[in-house]
Amino acid sequence: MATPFHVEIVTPERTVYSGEADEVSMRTDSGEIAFLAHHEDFIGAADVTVVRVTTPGGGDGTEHGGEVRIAVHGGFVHVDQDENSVRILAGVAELAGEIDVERARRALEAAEASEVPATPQAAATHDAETGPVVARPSGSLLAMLEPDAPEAAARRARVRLEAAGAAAPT
Amino acid sequence: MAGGQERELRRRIRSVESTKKITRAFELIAASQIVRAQGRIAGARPYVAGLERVLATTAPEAGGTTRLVGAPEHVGRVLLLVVVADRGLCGGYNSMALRAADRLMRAGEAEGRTYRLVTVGRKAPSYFRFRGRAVHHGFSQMTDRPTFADARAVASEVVGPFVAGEVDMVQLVSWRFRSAGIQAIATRQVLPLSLADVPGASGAGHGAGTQGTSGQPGATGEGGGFYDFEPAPDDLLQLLVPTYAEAVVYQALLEASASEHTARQRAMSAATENAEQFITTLRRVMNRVRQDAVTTEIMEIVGGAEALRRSGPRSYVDIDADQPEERSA
Repeated sequence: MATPFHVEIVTPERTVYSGEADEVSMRTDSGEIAFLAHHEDFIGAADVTVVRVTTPGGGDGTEHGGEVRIAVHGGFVHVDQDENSVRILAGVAELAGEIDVERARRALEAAEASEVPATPQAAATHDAETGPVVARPSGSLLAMLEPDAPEAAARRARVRLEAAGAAAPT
Repeated sequence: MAGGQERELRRRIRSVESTKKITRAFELIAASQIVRAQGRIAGARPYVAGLERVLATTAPEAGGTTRLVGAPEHVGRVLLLVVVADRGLCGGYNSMALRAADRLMRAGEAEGRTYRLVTVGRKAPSYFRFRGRAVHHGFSQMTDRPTFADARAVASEVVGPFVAGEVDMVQLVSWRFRSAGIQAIATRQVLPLSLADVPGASGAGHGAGTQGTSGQPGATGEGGGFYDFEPAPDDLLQLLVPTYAEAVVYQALLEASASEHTARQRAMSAATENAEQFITTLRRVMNRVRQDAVTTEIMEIVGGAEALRRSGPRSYVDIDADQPEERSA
């Protein structure tokens, strides 16, 4: 049915995923977005998100019946219509199978435990740091500048769990 | 005494031999690390290339002027990032980079610039402290095998102050790895990002929003498709530039690491060769000393026999029977 297109998920250390896909869906700063073949040229900031790649044919040995899930911890999406490709550039990205569910659970619990008191303070230092230069502090910017902030840690852990197909506590 | 000298030489040869074993081991380790480091450099290339394409497309669309891109208006406070090694035994690798950094700072200070030093590698803080320079932040234990997480830690120390407006410019002094045979020290401007350094984005510059839409620069090519940006190009650039700076730092760490291993391999291979030569020389000296000792002993025995022969007829008969064997020894 749908014509496949090329998907690449690239981190500085390796190419995490490279292959054909019918559809790629993910979350950017402004919301959920899905790409089909021949999507028009697009550049966007990727949130900390689960990228779902629907592989063509489906069920050809891949997990979840033709869906590959990858936890992407912020980055950029580049859709090139001429190349008919979607390239996701991320600092860190993990395939569902590589995720340590137990570790993610523990990280989430730890982050949630310290989230409530620490968040306003983290936001305040964040504002002071970026000042007038960055007018629109967004989720991905926060994740980039304050990777240790509990809020950012919690988001990363949730995305990991979602990608791994494990339910998050609470 | 002659025997003592020989023993002394033997001991020195043994000591040089064990040194040689160590340098040989270092050489082999470094050689294997070079290959891996080169692999990591190659592994980072798709990411950097991808980011460069995104930057090349986004930067011309961003209309607003920003401190992040272009030439800094006034350079007073500079953050200098210097990358060297944790350990020595790598020839001039450390000292050359450190001296280059020192020269750069002295030249800049003559123009009234002030420097804030951030260093990678244990060798850097001691060098600068000795010269009375404060090191703002010194990273270590990452040049052997730098990870992206390491690069992020360094980058946050570098990008943070720039974004916050504490410094006007970020420079980087490190070894660049071009090939196994060619490495050189380079000084680069990390921030503000100079678009001339980004392949495909040169010349276009920012603030040319209206022109940018008519002809897409760089990689988008003849398709001329109109890009959708999300968020708007200006905001996107605010995210892109720090990310790119991170990638630049990561690449610099990787290249410095590969250069370090190459320098170490070269230094250790030279040391091994020296040890070999030294052993040959010592062995020659030792053999001569031993030969001398043997000769002296023979001379003593012969001399003793001669003396005995002259002393009395009785002993003359005994000694004479032994003499031919002694001579041949």
